[in-house]
Amino acid sequence: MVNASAREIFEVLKLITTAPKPLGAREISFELSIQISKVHRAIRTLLLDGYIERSQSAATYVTGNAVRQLRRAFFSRFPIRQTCLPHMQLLAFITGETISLRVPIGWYSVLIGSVSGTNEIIQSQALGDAKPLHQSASALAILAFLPKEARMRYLDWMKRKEIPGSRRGIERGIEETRMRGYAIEPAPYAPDRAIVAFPILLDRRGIASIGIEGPVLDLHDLQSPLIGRCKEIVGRVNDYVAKHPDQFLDRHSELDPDLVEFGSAARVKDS
Amino acid sequence: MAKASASDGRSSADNGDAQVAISKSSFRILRVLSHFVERGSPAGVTELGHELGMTKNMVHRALMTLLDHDLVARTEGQRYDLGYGVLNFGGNDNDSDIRALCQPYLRKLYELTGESLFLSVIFGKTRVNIDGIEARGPRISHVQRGRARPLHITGNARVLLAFLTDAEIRQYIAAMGPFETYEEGKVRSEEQLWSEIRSIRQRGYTIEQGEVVGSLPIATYVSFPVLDATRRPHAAITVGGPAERFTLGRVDGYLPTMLEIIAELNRQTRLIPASPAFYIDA
Repeated sequence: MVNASAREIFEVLKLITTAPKPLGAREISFELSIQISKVHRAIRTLLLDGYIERSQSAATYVTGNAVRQLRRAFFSRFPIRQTCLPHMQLLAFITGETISLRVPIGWYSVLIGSVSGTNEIIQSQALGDAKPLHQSASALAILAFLPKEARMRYLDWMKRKEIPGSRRGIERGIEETRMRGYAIEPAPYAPDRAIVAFPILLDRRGIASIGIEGPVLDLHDLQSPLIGRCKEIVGRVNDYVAKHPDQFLDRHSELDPDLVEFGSAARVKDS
Repeated sequence: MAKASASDGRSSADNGDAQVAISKSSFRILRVLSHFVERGSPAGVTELGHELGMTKNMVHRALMTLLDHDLVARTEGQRYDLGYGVLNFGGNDNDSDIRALCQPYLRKLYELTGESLFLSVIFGKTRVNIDGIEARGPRISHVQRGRARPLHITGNARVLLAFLTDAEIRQYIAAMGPFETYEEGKVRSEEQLWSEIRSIRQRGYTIEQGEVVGSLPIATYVSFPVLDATRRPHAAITVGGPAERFTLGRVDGYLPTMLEIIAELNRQTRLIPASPAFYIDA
């Protein structure tokens, strides 16, 4: 049975939490085409448990602490995160770059962990960022190590969803990643250098990836000592996963990946 | 959290604004969703009903709605847990802003004790105060923002040091010893430092009475760690006041509540990784 009131509340919450500025009831009513009385009721309900808060202008609303806690609690549900964090901290130290941890949910790679680098310029990413499984080295590092049948299904899904990307180019990227053992993505701002991402494997299946989100790889020196050190550190994670497989069972195995969607509500036009 | 009164499924809550009805069923759905945060693990319908004081029917209806929106997902054994749909709600996951996270808890500790609060972080081989609340009154502990002290010198610095790894602590000792050369601070030897580190790790806080005039201490400080899930330190929080007012007896009286406040903060910060392991070499 569809709960229309709950649907409206979640639509209001999605809009407020993804808007670039605080929103008032009238703006929300206009964007979502919901009666203003229903918007007021939704706001009142969301305020009670801290899902939204009043912004400095009392007539507008912003994300509340309950949403931040929900997101953090979701990220904390992945045991791979706790296993990887100390190693990500070490990688951030030795490379100076931001280190990312992504897991597959549906046909997306989702950022569930990030350790900021120490360089003057670093990559800044929002936790929860979801990219299709071929977009970025971190995503490709997972896709390349899914079973062949899953990789084919992904490519079919991509085509149905009209997601940009050349099938042949992706298949080539998968092949190279499997051969090399890690994925690379040339850095447009640093000639001849690339971003690197390493798969985390369970029974040879990609369950996560650790990405070094900066131009750490010299494309003319793929065997550099730094890359060797990074491989060694990620290798320790893979050793641990291999020894404790029960800790890392796929908590999303019951999801049909074709039905998983990520996205925000109607975007508010900047005034 | 305001409670909604029952009538025909819609209820009113008055916070001084114009009365606006809320949707009671939606309110229950949000309560079920929030409960997964507090709970930290999957749960079945019966458990949730018991923990939330709701009937199984209410819980089941709420869960079905949350399932529809992918806000919960089914797990093994007919249980439920948070689903990926929560990521469709944007959030400012500014995990590096430890000050913003700690601020409400500094406020709670201040309201409890009336004494000054300090928030400190590690910077290289020192601890630095980055925030605080200064108490009011003729005699208070002064919050000196930006002041750097070596990591073994004061109680709140040692609380930060204690939750680094043993290898990092040995590295610090090698760089900063021998301690008997320092004019300030109570730690005079490596053995003494390790003893205190073990004590802090076990107890989860430290109490120090700083500076002595005649035979009487001037101030009392209680320091607590703010940790991530791997028990690395984000920061240390210290409550400090003049010893004649902030006595050890008063500290003992406040301690259980202070520990509860810090535990609540650590439940949030444990979800965020602490800064990289470059402390000592900076």
